Amino acid sequence: MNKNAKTAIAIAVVVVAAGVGLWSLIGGGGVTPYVGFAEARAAKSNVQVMGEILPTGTEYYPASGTFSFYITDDTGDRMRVVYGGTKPGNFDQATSVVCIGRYSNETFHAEKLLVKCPSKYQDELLEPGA
Amino acid sequence: MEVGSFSLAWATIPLILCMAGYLMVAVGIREFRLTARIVYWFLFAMVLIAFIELLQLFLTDQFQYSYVASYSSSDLSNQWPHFYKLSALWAGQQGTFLMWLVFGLILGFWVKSRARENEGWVMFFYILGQTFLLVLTIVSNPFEKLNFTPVDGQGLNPLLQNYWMQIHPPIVFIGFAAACIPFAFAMAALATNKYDDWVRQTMPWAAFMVVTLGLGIFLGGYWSYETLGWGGYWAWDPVENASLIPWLVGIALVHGMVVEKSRGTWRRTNLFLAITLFLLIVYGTFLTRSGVLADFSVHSFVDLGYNNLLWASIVVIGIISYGLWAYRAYRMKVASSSGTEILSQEFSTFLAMVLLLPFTLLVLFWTSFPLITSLLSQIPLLSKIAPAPAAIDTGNYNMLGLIFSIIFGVILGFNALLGWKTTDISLLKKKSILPVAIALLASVIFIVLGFGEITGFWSDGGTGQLTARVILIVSLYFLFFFAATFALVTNLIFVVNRCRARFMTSGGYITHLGFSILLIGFIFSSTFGSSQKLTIPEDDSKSALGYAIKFTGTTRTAPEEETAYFELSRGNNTIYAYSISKEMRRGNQLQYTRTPHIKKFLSHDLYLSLENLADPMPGDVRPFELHAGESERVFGKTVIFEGYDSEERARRLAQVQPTIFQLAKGESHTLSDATVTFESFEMGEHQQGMTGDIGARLKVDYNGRTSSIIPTYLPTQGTASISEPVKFPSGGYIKLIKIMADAGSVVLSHSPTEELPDMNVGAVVKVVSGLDTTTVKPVYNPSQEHGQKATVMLPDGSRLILLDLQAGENLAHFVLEPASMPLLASIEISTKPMINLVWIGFLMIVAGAVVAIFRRMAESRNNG
Repeated sequence: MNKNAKTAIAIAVVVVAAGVGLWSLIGGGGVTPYVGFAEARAAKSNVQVMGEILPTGTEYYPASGTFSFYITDDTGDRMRVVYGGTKPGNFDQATSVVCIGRYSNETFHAEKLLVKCPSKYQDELLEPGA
Repeated sequence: MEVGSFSLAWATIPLILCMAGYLMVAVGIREFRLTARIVYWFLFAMVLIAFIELLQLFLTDQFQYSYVASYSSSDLSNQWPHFYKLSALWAGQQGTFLMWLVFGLILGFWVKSRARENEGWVMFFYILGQTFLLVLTIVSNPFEKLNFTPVDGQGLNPLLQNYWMQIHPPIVFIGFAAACIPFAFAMAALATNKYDDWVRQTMPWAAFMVVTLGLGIFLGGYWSYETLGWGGYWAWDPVENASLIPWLVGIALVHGMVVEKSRGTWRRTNLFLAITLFLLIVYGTFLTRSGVLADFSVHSFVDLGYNNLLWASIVVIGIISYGLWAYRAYRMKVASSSGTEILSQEFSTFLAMVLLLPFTLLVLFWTSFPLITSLLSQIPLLSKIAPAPAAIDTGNYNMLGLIFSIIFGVILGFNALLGWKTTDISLLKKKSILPVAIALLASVIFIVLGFGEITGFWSDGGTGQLTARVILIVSLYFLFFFAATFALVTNLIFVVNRCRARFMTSGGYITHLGFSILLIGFIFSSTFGSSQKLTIPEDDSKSALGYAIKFTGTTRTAPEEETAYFELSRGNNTIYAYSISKEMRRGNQLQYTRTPHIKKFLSHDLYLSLENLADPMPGDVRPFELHAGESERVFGKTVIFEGYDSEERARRLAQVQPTIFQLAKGESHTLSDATVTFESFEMGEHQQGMTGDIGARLKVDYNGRTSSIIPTYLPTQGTASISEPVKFPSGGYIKLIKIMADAGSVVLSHSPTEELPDMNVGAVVKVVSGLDTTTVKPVYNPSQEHGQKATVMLPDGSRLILLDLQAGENLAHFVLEPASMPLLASIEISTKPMINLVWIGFLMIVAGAVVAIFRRMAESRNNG
């Protein structure tokens, strides 16, 4: 096989692979943009939002196995979040949380929670000396 | 200044001298070689002194150092086999960089002895690679002091307090350090423009890098599965991808080198890959250490403020190396690749490499997606395309992996049937009949048995319809099973035959066999597993996945350590499971680690992970409602609301009882000439740690006047879930009974009379607890909130309270207060079918690669 044929095969394979990659982007569930509360409310598909957890505590719904809490953003906007899983172990110590899911009926239904534990404590508590 | 930071800072001098010396050697002044070697020893010694100093600080609890105070504490164990004070050294980034640098310099001694006459250039570029690490270590400075001495350190994250932490990170960083070696050899070859030896010299190192990084990745996956209780071994997390990407490039490089060694082709590609491999390691460090992905990963990142340095390193090393590569590659004479037959291993290797690269690029692109989109969103013109940072859903990676696995499986399968240069077609046909037949049979069986699970795993909403997408996915699975089984069978036959004759040359095939086993394990354990989440009160049981799961209790084995026990029974078999829950205060944050319980079967693992262990809060004792005839299971008891003690009084009660109505936001309801509209929820001021009040703002239009009333629900009041009555303008009283924030609506009651009638209506309630049945009659009196007779004592000391009785609807609200509050265990139970194939497959990949390293090292010695 000559060199041109090989190059042609290589290019064809790369094009096909790129096509597969783009297609799987559509087929597998797409991207989850990182948005503010207002955009999250308007979004039709999965998004991720980050907010500080309001110290109102969490409510359990044993029947559905879900729990809910409120998050707030910089502007003081509040949003209720319902998560369909068990409360993560470090949730009570978390300051803020990233919620991935979609908004409907005045509530953000999270499919995944990324709990952000305070990492700021390093700066606050252990400011290195000059 | 500390010995450590002093030593690190001054290590720049021998570093520069050593590079200068080796540069002299490289340009032909060989007298400098001994000097350069001695200076390298100095460099190593100074870095080692810093490392030992840091180790010493950790072992002796020197908490005046910020890094020690952040990751260690005096109570950390340091007894065999729990050297946690030691492993705390690489818990943070500063120590990690130092460890990485030490490994890099140790490997440098071998590199030096292998480089032979090319020592000058190889070591020059190798040390150039270490410069990046030394500068990072100096800038991040693990020896930074606090201006006070804390009594104790913050301690090591309990997730990291196990032996995996002592094994996994060092091995990963040996792999990272080894990635610099192919880079140095490639650059040296480019600098001298001599390429005859570089593959032979570099190949064992490239394979070494693939083995160590691969082993590191494997151990990380096994760690997260076995100990961390995350349930999975791979999540396409940025931190995981940052190791996977260079690993894949390393694999491509090793394969490219096999071809170059045999034919002299692929030289430019291999040199390019060797450079890219190292740059990707630096880029991965940037991606995972700089904090740019902090909002997209479960791993925690702290931005230590040296992003610019990392960027600069990538750009500088990139310009030097790619520049030199482009300059040489343009003029390079390469062997002609013509004459390659399609039915040859040479061609299948070519094809696999060509496919591996776009796969790697896509994973790289997707992992960087949050970074790219966030950069784009800051550029005015491009922000329309990417208005906000976005991440790629893991489903995409799975789909990508599935599609590429099919192609790789087919290539791997045929590869084992082909000769290196040519293949006899009739022999190929004969050899492929059996594997194809087995693969077809197996994939038909898999699809028939697994159809439900496959469609369930990929379903959007479980509609169960045979959409085009479902058909497509099932066909992909069919192809996948075919390809993976085909590869498994052909490579197995090959390895069995080859092992008898020339074992040392079978390394690659063992790796390929391992890869096909791994693929099958991946797809089974992810697609065909099932899982369920449960919350079980102590001494109670719930059923899931065909098991009755009883939470039998806990024992406290140490002040901060608690073990929870479970009994899983199915038929006559009982599995005793336990999970150790360790709690640790780190700074002001309380963290838990909970070991999962894994029951291994040959065909699958039963995986029980404890997610939460909690004393019930007052809020967990919540009211439940029952219509007459209904029952509810509460705290291990079944409560059945059977009816009333007197039908006559129940009818009378129904006539005078309040009306209950539900309002969504904006909806109105008419009550005795007044219109009441629910406007919004009203959240009270909440203080730290206190649950806030939630009220409903109601607009009332009555006699042409508009007023607002806000009945407020106080969730902190334990069992009292009904608000205080609020006077209603047109008479009577309004109460807020229930908030349904999900639906954005509230349930309100309006009582027609100010005083509710003083009458007693008893509810007949049957309580079944184990084999005992008790019938009790709590009494409802509308005029008394929680009258004495509303509460009845059950034989075991727990109390049943009748909160409310709506005789008109035959609806009662109850609360069951258990005698002693049972612990609540929240668990996830799941099955991981064929998970053992993942481990076996991965170990075979590593084992095969180790065999290949020995073979190539032997070759490298013999020929040199």
